[in-house]
Amino acid sequence: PQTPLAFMPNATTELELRNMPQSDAELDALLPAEGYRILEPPASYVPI
Amino acid sequence: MAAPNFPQKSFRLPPEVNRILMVRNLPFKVSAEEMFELFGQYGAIRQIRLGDTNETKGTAFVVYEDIFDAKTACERLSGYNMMGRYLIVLYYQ
Repeated sequence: PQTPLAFMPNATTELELRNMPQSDAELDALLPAEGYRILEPPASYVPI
Repeated sequence: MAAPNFPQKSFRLPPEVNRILMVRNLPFKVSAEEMFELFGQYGAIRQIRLGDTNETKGTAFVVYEDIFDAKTACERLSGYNMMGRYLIVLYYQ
């Protein structure tokens, strides 16, 4: 029989950590501000 | 012999894959509509930053909501011919 896996059902997986929603502040910390402007999504843009 | 694959909820993504794509070789006069239309077809876009000074013209940062969308976009759009220029799409480290 296989050794039982140490299975933590509700542990946040590493993937969920990498996919956590980022706040604007975090993005500003990550991305260069000078020399770049944030584009406003046009009216025609519908997030799929 | 093949490694026993344990019941993994999802396969592991390489470490360099992340949701922020750095795009280079963009046409200088690209518009917000074109950017959102081109990158938006792969997933919901969190934010786009377009370079507007002499050094940063032609480059942009595209942030996706979901890491898998960013991965698909990066694979599909690198080398995409936009107005005669081939886009360079990299994961932002």
